[in-house]
Amino acid sequence: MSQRPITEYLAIDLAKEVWVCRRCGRELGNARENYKFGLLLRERDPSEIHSSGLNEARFYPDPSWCRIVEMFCPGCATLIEVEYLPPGHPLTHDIEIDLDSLKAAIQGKRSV
Amino acid sequence: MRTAQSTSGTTINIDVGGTFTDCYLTVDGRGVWGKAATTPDDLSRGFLNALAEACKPLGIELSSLLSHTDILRYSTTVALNALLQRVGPRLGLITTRGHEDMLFIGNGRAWGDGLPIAEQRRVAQARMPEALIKREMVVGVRERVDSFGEVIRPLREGDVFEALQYLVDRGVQGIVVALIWSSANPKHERAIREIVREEYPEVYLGNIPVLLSSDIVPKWREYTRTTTSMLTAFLHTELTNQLLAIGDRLRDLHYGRPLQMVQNTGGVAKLTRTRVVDTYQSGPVAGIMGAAARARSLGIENLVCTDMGGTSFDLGVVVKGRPKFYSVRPVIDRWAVDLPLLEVKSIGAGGGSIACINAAFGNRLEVGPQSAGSMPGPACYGMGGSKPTVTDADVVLGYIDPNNFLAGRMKLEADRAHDAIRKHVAKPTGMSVEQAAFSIKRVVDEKMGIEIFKEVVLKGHDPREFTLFAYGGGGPTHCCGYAEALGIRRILLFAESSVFCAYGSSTLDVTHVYERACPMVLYDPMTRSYLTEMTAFNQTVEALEADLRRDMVAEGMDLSQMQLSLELELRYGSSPVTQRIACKELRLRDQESVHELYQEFREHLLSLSLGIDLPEASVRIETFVLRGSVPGGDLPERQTLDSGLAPRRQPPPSSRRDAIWDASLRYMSTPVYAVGGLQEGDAIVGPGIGEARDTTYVIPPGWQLVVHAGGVCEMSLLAGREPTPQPSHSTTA
Amino acid sequence: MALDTSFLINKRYKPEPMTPQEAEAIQLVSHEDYSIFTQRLASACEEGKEILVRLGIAGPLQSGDVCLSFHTAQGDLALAEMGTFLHAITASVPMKFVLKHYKNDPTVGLKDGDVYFCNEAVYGGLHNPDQIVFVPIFVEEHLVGWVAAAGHEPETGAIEPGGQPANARDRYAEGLKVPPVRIGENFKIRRDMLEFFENMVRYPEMISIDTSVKLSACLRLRTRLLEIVENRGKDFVIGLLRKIIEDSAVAAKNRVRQLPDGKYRCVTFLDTYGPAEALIRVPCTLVKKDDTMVADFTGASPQLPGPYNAFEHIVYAHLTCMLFQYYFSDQPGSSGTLVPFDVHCTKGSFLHADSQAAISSCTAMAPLAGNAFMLCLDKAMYASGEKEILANVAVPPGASVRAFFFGGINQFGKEVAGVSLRPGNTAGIGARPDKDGVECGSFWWVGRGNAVDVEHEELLYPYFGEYCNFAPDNAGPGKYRGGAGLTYGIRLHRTPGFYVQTFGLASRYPANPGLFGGYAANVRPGIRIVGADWGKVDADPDVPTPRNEFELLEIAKKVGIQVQLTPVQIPGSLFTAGDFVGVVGSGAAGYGDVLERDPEAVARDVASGVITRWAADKVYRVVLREDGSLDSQATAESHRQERLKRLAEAKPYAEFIQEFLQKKPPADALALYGNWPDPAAEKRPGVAEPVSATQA
Repeated sequence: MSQRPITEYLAIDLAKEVWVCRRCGRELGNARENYKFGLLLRERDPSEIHSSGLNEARFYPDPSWCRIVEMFCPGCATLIEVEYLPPGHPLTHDIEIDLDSLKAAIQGKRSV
Repeated sequence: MRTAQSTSGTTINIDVGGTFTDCYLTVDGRGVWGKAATTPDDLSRGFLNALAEACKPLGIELSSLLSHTDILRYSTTVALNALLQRVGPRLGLITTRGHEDMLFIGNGRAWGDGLPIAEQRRVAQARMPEALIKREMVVGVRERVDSFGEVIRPLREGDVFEALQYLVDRGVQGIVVALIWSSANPKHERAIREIVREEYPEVYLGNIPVLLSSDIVPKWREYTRTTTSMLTAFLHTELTNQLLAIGDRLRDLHYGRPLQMVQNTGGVAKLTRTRVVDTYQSGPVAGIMGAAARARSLGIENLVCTDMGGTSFDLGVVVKGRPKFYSVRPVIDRWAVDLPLLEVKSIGAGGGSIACINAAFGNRLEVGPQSAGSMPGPACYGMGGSKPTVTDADVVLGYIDPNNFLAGRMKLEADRAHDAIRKHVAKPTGMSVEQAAFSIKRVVDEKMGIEIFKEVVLKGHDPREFTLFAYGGGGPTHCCGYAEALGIRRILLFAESSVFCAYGSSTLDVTHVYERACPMVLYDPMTRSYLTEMTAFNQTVEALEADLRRDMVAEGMDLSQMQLSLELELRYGSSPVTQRIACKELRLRDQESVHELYQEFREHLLSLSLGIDLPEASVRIETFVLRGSVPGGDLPERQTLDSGLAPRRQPPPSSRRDAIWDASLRYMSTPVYAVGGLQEGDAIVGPGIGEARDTTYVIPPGWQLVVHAGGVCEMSLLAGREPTPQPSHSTTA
Repeated sequence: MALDTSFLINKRYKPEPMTPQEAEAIQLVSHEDYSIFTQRLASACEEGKEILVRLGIAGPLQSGDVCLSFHTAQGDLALAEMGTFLHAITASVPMKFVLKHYKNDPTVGLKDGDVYFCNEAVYGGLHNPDQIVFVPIFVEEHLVGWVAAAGHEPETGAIEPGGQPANARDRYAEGLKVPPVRIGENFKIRRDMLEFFENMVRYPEMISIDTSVKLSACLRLRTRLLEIVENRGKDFVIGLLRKIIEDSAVAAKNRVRQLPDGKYRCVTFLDTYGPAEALIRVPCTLVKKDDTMVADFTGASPQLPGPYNAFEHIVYAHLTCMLFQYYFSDQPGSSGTLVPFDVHCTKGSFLHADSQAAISSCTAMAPLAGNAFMLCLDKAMYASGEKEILANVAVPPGASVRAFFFGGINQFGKEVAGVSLRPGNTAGIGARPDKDGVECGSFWWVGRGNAVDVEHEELLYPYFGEYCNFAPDNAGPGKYRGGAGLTYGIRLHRTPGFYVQTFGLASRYPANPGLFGGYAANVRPGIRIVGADWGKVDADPDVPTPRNEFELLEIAKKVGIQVQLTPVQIPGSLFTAGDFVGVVGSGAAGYGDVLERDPEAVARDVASGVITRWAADKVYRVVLREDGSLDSQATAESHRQERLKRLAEAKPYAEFIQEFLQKKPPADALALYGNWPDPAAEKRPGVAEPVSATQA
C-alpha cells in the first residue's frame, strides 16, 4: 500500500510522489509541491454561505474584509480545502511534508 | 396509630444490586441472611431465591414467614438500568419561552457530567448523552418571574394551549413543567398544571403525571431542578412496574403490607410516598446507615465505611454517630441533579479493577479505573477476561482460595490469573509474577486509601482518628492494606459483611425530608447587622413541619415519636456555592440564637479553610431542609468491645496455605481459619487468613484479629508497627 | 523595570537543567512508589481545587478557572490540577524571579511561612485578572519545593469594570498589577496587604476573600507534601517531583516523533484591537522535526494601541490549552510535557509587545493563535496515521469568545463588578473526522470548567435573561458541523444604573476556520436596545417574545423597535432598567465537504433549530419538504447540480491567483495591519508569485 492518507481527501502516492484524491483516485500533481496547484479554485462572497438570508451587517463576514476560497478536486468536484482570506491575501501552503523523512520513517517501521 | 417498629418481630430487608440480590431477615431479634444472583428479566425470582436461602437455617416455609412479616424494606439500583437503556415514556418539557435549550446547554460542558476525569479531558471524543427529552419535545411559553418571585410577565395561556396541542400531536406520554424561578414563585407552573388537567383529563394522558419542577426541587438553579424533574418523570413508570410485579408475587405468598422503599436520604418510606430519584444509591446509603447504627451500639463516634464489591468501591463518612454529609454536586448517570442525597463516594477500584503498565509514562503501573466488571470479570473467572485484575493478584498472592470463592459458588482458575499478570504487568517491567501481583495489591490499596483520605479531610476531619468499617465481598480481603495507606489502626468487620446493605436497611427509620427555598440575610457586613425578622424563619420551618406531619400521618405513624432535625443551606458573600449546616434548634427565639447560628457558620467556614480566617462577607440563608423520622429500625443491642485485657485464645487453624506477605515475595505457609467457627475471645496474629461465608479475611503480619460477641471481628495494628507504606526495592533501571 | 526580567525571553517556564541532587534523588523512586505518590500529589491538587471551588467568591473560581500546582525547588512545574491550562507556565517564572532577586536580598529574603502574590504578565503571569498565590516549602533549612494556587478574579480596578477594559491604550489603564510580592509571613496574609488590594478594586470583598482562600489551598498542598517528606524523607520528594518532569518529557517526545516531519501552516485574522475594528494578522507555521515542534508566528501584525496585545509566553500558554485538551489530553499537567514544544513570536508584533503595552484582553485574542496552531497540529496529527493520535484530531473549539463585563449597583443596592460566564464558557466544540462538534461544550482555556445557571446570574446581578438558547447558523457547516455557541439576551432589571461592556471579537471577520473543506464559524454583532422601546413587546401579550437574535430582529421590525447592531467589542456604557443587551457565544467550525453531510442530519438540525432552512437549502443543498422532512431524490439531484456548478465556476490555480491577488481590503481596515499582505516581508511579493507569502 504505497498510498499514504494525508488529509480527509488527499493521499500521497509514495512511489510516484504525487498527490492523489482519496475520493476519485485522480492524481493532483507533485507531492513535493503545494497540492493546491493541482486543484480548481472558486471565490465566494461570504454572504452566500453565512447570511442566513438576512441582509444585516455583522450577521455574516464583511465581503470587503473577507473572501472565501473553495478548492475542488478537478475529477470529482469534492471540496478538498477552504480558506477564508482578506481579498488579495495569498493562499496558504498549509501542508509541506518532508517526503524523504516520511519515506524513511515508513521504511524504518517496515524493517522493525 | 402505630410506630414504625415491627410488632411481629419479623422483618425482611432486600437489596437488589446489579449482580447479586441480598436478603437480610430478622426473626424475633435473630438475624439470618441469603444471597442469590439478580434476575434482570423478572427481579422477583432473584428476590425469592435470596429469601429462600435466608430461610433455610430457620426451617420455616417462605409463605408462613411472609404471612407474619410486618415490614419489608426494599432497596435497588435497578431502576437505573432503565436509564442506561434509555427505555422510558416519551416526555415533553414546557419551559419559559426563550429558554427552550436550557436542558441541553446545562452548565456548559454538560457532556462531562458523570464521566471520569480522564474522559472529561478528552475533548476530541466529547459526546452529549442521549437525551431523555428530545429537543423537538420542548416548548416555551410566554411568562417570566424574577429572582424575587415577582411576576414580570404574566403567563400567556394561549401559549399553553398551543404547547399542549403540539406535544399531544407528537404522542407525549408525560409532561415536565420547569419555568425560570418557579422555585421563587410556582404560580405559573401550577396554572399550567391546571390547564393540562382541564384540557386533557386523566383518560387522555393516561396515568402519567404532569410534574412541576417547583414540586420536585423547590430550589433555585433551573438546570438541576429540571434534570431532577426529568429523571423523576422518566423512571417513575419503570420502577412502579418493577415493584408492582414484586408486590403481586408477595401477595400470592400472603404478604399483605405495603413495601417500604429505602431512600437515599437514609430512611424508608411507603412506595406511594417515594419519588423514584430518592431510591438512587439507596443500597449503599443503607449500608452506611447500618454501619452508623452499629457504631452507635459499639460506642464509636467517627468512622469510615467502605464497601468493596466485585467491581466497585463505595465509601461513606460518619461523624458523631450520624452520616450527615450530602453530595455537593450529585450526578445521576450523566445528569447533574439537585437532591438531598447522602454522600456515597464511588471510585473505580475493586476486585475487577484492571492493572496495566503505562509504557508511555515511565512504565508506570496503573490499576483501574477500567474494570472487567462482572462480565467477563477477572481473568481467573475463566469467562473470557484476559486482563489482570485485583482479584487475580489476590489469587496469585494466595489470599483467595480458587476453590472456595464466594463460598464455593464460583471456581476460579489460578493459571489464568498468573498468565494475565505475567503477560500484561510482569513482562513489560521485568518483574516476577509474584512481584507484579504484590505491586498491584499495594497500588490498589493505596489508591483506595488516598480516596478515603481525601473524602474525610475535605470534610474537615483527620481520618487517622477514625475507625474503619469494611464490608462487601472484597472489604475484609483488602481493608488492612488501605487502612495502612491512610493511617488507620483499627478496623471492624461484621458477620453480615457480604449482605451489609440489606442488613443496613433493617436499621432504618421511616423518614421524610422536605426542602424549601426562602432567602433571607443572616448577616450583613456593610451595616454589621444580623437577621431580625425571625417570624419568616420560623414560619418556613412550621410550614415544612406541617408537610412532614401530613406524610407521617398518611403512613400511619405515631407523631408523638417523630424526631425533627433542621439544616440550612447558606451562601457566603456572592459565592453561589451553598454551605449546609445543622441548626441546634428548630426555631429562632431571640438575637442570641441568631448570633449562635452565625457563629456556627463561621466555624464551619474555618474548618473548610483549614483555620485561615476569611474576611467578613454577607451571609444569606437560601434553603431550609427539615428531616423528620419515626424510629422503626431494628437497633443492634449495645455492645462493648472488651479493652483487650481479657485472656486471648489462639485458635487452631483449620488448614494452611501458601501466601505472600512482604516485599521478599516468598510464599509462606500461612494458617487458615474458618471464621464461622471462631469463638468470642479468639485472637489471631497475622499473617493469617480467615475463610468466611462469601468473603475472605486477610490478616497481614503486624495485624491482629480479635473476635467479639455477635461475630464482630476487630483488626488492629500491633504496637510498634507504623501505618506507613513500606519502602520497596527500586525497579527503575 | 529596575530588576532583570529576561526570564521570559529565555523561556524559563521550561524545566531547568537537573541538579546533581535531583539526579541522585530520582534513583530513590521505584515504579510502585512513583505510581503511588503521583496519585497522592494529584489528589492533593484536587483537594486544593475543591477548597477554591467551595469557598471562593469570584464566579470563575466555581467555574473551574483555577490551577493548583506542585513545583520543584527550582520552581519548575512538576504536577498540576489544571482547571486552566494557561497556568501550566504562569507560576514558575515568578518563583524563579523570587529566587533570583529576593532570596538573597537582605530587605526581602525567602523563609518558611512566606506567602507570595503575583498577577503581572511582565513577570511571567498572564493578564492581571489571573492572580496567583504561591508558597515555598522548607524542610529544616532546605527549600524542597513550591506550591501555587491561581484563579481568575474578574475585577482589577482598571478604567472599566470587569478586568478587561476595551479602552486601555497602555498598561497604566489596566489597574492592579503586582509583581511577585511577599504579602504574608508565618503562613498568614498581612492585613495591610489585603487593605491595599481592597483599596485598588471596585469589588473589595472578592479580592480579599479569594486571596485568603488561595492561601488556604496552598497550605493544604504544602501539608500533603510534608506528609510524604515525613514518610519517605525530603530526598525522596525531591526525586519524585523531578521524576514526574523527566518522564513526562520522555512521553511527550515519543509522541511528537510520531508526527511526519514538515511544515504546517494556517493564517487567521482578528477584527478588533479593543477600542475599534481593524484587520490584524495571526499567521502560524508549525515546524515539526524529529522530537521537536516549533510554532512560529512570524508575520503577525505590529503592536496595537489597545488591550489586544500579548507577550510571547502568553501565546505559548494559549497553545498549551490546545495541547492538553487534544494532543496531550492523557498526559500529566507538567512542565515536562511541554519540553519538546516551543514558540516564536517576533518582538514588536502584537503577539510579543513591549512591556508598556496594554494586554488585558490577551486571553480574548490569543485563542485565535491557539486555534491557528491547533489546525496546523491537526494536519500533522491526521497525516501521522496513528490510531490513538487520530482519536484526538478535532477542529478546535470556538475561539471568538463573547461575554458581558459589568459593574454597578445590583438589585440589593450593593456595588458589584464581574463577568457573565454563561456565554463565555459555553463555546461550541469543533467538528471531528467522524462526528459533529458539541453545542456549548467548551470553555476554551479550562479543561474541566463550567458555566453557571441563568438563575445563578440573576441571583447576583441586576438583569434577567430574555433568551438563552443555541445560536442558529452560528457554527461552521461541513460534512460534520461545528458545535453551536449560545445566544444570550439580557434585560437590565432593578438597577438605577449598570455599566455593561459587550466583549469579544469576530463581528466582521470569522475567527474560527474549519478543517479539510469545513466552513468557518460565523461572525455576530453586539446587540443593544436602549430606552423604553422594549416596553412595546411587554405591553402586547400577543407579540411573541424572542427565542434568539433572529426572532429579536423580526419582532423589532414588526413592532418598530430601534435595534443597534455594533461590533461586539466596544467600550461599555451605562444602562438602566429596561435596556436590552445581547451577545452570541462562539460557535466552532466544520469538517469536510458540506455535500458529504448526511441529509437526514441536516433535516434534524433544522428541526432542532441549530441551522436555518436557508442554510439547509443554500449551503448544504438539501431539499426539505414543507413539513421539514427530507426529499432524498430531490436532494441527490441538487447535489449533482452543485458539483457540476463547482466545476463550471472554478478556475485553475494560476489563473485564479492572478485575479485574486489584484484585490485588497479597504485602507481603513488595514490601518493597523502592518505591511500588506505580510507584515514581516520587506516588500510586497510579486503578484504572480504562486506560492504563499506565509511560508516561513
